[in-house]
Amino acid sequence: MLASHQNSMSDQHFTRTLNRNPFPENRADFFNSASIGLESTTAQSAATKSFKTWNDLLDRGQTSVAQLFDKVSDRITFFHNTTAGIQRIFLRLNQLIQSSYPTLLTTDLEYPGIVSLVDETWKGRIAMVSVAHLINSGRCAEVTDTLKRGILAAKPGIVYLSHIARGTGYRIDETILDFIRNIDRNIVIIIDGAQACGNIQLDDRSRAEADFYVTSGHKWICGKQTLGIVFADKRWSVEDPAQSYSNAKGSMGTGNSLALLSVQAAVADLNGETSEESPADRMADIERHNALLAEKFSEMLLDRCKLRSIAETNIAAGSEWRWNGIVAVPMPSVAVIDNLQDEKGDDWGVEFTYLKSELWRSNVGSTPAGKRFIVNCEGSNPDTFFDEVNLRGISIPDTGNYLSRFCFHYYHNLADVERLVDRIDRARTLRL
Amino acid sequence: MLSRFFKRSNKGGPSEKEEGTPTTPESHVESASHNPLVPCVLVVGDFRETDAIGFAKRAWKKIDAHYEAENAFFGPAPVPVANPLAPQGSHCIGFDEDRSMFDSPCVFPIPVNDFGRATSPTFQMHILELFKDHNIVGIISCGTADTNIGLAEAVRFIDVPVLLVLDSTLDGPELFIPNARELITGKMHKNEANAEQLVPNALQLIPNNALQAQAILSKVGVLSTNRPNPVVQLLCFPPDDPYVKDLRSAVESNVEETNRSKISPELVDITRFQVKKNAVLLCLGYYETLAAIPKSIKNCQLLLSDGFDERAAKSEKIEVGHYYQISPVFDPLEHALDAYKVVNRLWRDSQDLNPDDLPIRLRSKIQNVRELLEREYGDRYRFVGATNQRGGFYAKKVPMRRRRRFLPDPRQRL
Repeated sequence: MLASHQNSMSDQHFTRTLNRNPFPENRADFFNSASIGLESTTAQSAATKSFKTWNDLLDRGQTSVAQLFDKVSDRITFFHNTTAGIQRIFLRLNQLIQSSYPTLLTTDLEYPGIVSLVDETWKGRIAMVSVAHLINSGRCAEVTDTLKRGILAAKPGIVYLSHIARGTGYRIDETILDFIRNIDRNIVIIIDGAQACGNIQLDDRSRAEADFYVTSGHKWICGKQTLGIVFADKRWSVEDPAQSYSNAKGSMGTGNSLALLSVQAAVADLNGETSEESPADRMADIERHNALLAEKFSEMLLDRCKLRSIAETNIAAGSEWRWNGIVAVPMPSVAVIDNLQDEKGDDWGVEFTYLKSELWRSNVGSTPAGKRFIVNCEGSNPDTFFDEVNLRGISIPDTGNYLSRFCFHYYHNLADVERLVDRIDRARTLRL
Repeated sequence: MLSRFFKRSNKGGPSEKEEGTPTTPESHVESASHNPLVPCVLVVGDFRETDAIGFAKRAWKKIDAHYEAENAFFGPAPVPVANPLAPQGSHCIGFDEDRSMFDSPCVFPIPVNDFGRATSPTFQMHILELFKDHNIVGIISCGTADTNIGLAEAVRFIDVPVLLVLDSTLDGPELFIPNARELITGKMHKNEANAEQLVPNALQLIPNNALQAQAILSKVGVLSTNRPNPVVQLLCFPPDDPYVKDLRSAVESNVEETNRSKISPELVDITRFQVKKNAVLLCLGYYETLAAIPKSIKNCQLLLSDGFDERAAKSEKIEVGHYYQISPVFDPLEHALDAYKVVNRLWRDSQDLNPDDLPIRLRSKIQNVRELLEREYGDRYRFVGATNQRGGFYAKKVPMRRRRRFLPDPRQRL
């Protein structure tokens, strides 16, 4: 079952440390994989090794990463970073569109950089379905239905969704992809898997139904910064001729061999190459491990510090929560966050992300003429249902309570979680 | 809520349905849970018992009959609610889960009554509610220009093909370009224009008023032949009606552009209604216009625009032996059925995704509809932009059908 606390799954699992590459000394205090993951020492040293040819290096990288998907290496394309990969997807879509721009539908859970990107490049309409408030208020059980209604109402041609929301760790119900396909098989589905790939096992549905699955090599995959990875059918031709990552003959711009070497070594540890397990078994194990640590952390935080994570808020309200490595917690004050981040004596400062108030988009650049609107499925009249907006300067919905994000990965264990909770408790007391 | 506008029939066939009667759901379809994936098409128009022009009801009958003839896979279609205060009923749409919905040759038709108030927020919210709960793959508008103004406002953010069946207003399709208003008012720089603004999300199946104006003026020309100083009078009522304004503008533009020096329409004020003897009187409006005319029309050649319906032939206000009715070459009811069939086809074709032809997935639906209409019904459709150039209009001579008056026996007079 997907629901809430899975204590019955035995505490034994997460007390052990998974077999894995060695990580640097500060790994026990590093809870920031959703931002920039920790690179293993194996990946660090792999980056210094020589390689035969650039194409050979790319081929090996694609083959390793493909193990996390459907093992078909020619569906993997590398980019300088994730944003470059997504820009390339939108460039291709713009090239393929002939007479009219379909509506692009997304949610208010997306990364602001991506929202800026689509706002600046998409000439058609952008419909942003409002669901963040549901998650923040303990109503995550309503997200899937709300999203379905938004999709039915806006009739998009392109849907862009995060597999796991960056801010809260909310994992979409993958059956939404079947729903979209049943509504209209022509809808182009783009899944942002930056917080999923390496955190959870990629399910068959996400691989099969997504036209584009995008992720990055430096978050949960734990490679060196900053490769973007796009999984797509070869026929979409997402390779960027201006980038040497496109396996083109001859020199085509610069490419970062260090990042490729590092990512390949890092992925080898996630896809079972190193541990000689099947990729599915290995990632299932890692997913379970991350989820159990996250759940335990959330539970302990509530018991000892009286701090309720977004996940706990939803569980308390009777919603199911699909645990994964991300836990978002509204902290009592900035002082607690500062205390926690400060290095104290022998302790490393805890590395996590304080999700400060963010804007969807700054005032830089232009916005094409296509309208932008928030789809509020609870709207009681046409103007509140489709709320026409200018995405510039609008604040991203959050809890407003110093939301902080902690990430639990395969290099953590129960002792790390307990130590983290101790330190949060201390930081909280210090404030008092 | 939703079902305020339509309710389900509790009976099997269309012949058994009774308009406006509250029903209790009982078929297997109603007992099934609502399936939001079922493809639906909205048939929008004025379904009121009185005050409506009646076309929507006839078009609905035709569409419903076709759906029933094709086995009504998703259960009987709803019956239009004629009374806005009619009690709520179920509007669940489902089907036998053991079967694939793609076995259905037809999408599920839903009649939507605008009650002559399509611009009201209630109607627009009702449209949104329908979209929110159903997989609506197209809209067939069987209403007037007024209906389309409200409809365009309601679906301004929704990317769904709209097929205009009845309304011939020139800028009808342009209402369905979401950003057209900014372009028209000049608030947007020309360079910012994009494909979304240039391609309306609607196709006008009935020929537009430019073609109607051609037919009108050619008939006026014939009726004026051999008269040294022909008098052409023009009555436009209601003057602010979008259809009337549009048709008047099309007539005046045509006169100007084609340099018809002999035809110079004089505008008639309905409050000072005076038809000149032997004039050609051209009436642009609806059947209701006749009721507004203060006195009878006589001693003239009368032309009525396509907004008038067959009731004009019995009108007491017309005291001439015959009049000329401007009509589209093809029956608008056929256009309504074509619209339904093409939406069915569009939905079925969309299931046959060809992975080798990825760009086709990004084509606008309205473009697919247009190609289907031109391919499947080429004798009736050839579009330039969003308007159909095939068919056009013609002037039909209609004899008046007077009710026999009681005349006293001449012998008694003696």
